[in-house]
Amino acid sequence: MIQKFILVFVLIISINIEAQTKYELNHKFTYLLTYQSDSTITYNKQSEEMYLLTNENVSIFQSKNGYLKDSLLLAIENDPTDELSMADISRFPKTQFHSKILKKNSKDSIIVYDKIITDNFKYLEDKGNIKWKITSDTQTINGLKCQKATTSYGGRDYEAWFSNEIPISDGPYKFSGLPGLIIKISDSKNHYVFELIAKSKIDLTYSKLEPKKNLFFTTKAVFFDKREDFKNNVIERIAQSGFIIDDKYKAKVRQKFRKRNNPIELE
Amino acid sequence: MKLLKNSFLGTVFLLAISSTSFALTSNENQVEAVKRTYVPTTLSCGINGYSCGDTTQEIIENAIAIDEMVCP
Repeated sequence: MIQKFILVFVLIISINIEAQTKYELNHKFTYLLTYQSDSTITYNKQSEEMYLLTNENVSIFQSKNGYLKDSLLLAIENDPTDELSMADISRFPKTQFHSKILKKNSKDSIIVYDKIITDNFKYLEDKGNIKWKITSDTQTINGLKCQKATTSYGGRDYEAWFSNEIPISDGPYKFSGLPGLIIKISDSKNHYVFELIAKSKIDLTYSKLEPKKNLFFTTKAVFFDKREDFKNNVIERIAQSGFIIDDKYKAKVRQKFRKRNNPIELE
Repeated sequence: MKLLKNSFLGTVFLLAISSTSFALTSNENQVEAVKRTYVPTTLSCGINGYSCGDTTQEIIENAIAIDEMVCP
């Protein structure tokens, strides 16, 4: 009984520590993600900028707009008197990529934060799930000499180009583990393409990684099940989250979500 | 489009602070049980509905999340 109590106590303490952690980050790599959300319409590609924020020990990967939106919401939370001037959607950038990925050099697993509407999820994933084959092919991308590596992950075959001119074993999304930064990575159908477009030194304290509300610590399988359930019951799940769509728009909303049939991870 | 976007959350906010809050009170213990506000909301792609929440911030955050999801 006492052992169980201690275990629960330690768990609560460790969760609390993670929630309060601040990261001092000193490099920002900006990737342009070009993607195709409907696998049947090849001419309709969308794009979004993504940040890889790093120091020598950790990295955080997140969409640029997600990062900006978090900053605005945090500002409202910290200073409620500012709420009136902040209540303007044009100041809330939109993203279709809610995942935030924390990679620590000292850990064998990455931490993934994701969300479905207003529910936040956190799960761990083994870094070993991505196994690379490094080839001898080389080319220059954006002025950097790169070498090719390949992998299969999440139901897609990827071709990555990394450069040891930037000796950081990291990359966009969940990809890491090569002897240099990934400069470009694309799946074989070019449905998801990440390309490095900018890099800069920064002096950033990152404190908003872990959502404070509606956070569920789960597994990747459960999160994917929840996501599938959401797709199958869009209107009902949106209503449960706190938004009731007028009847005459429900079919249109269902149709919109049916066209989003091509997630980055297919399995 | 920007004007539409600007009007969207402004509308949400004004309606949020002016609309009726529903408080259900237990006769037995006189404790306030539920206080939830429903705000008529038009998303930036023209879809209408009601954003709900217990606080203005919750209503706004719900509206932002749904707008981002339904009107990318």
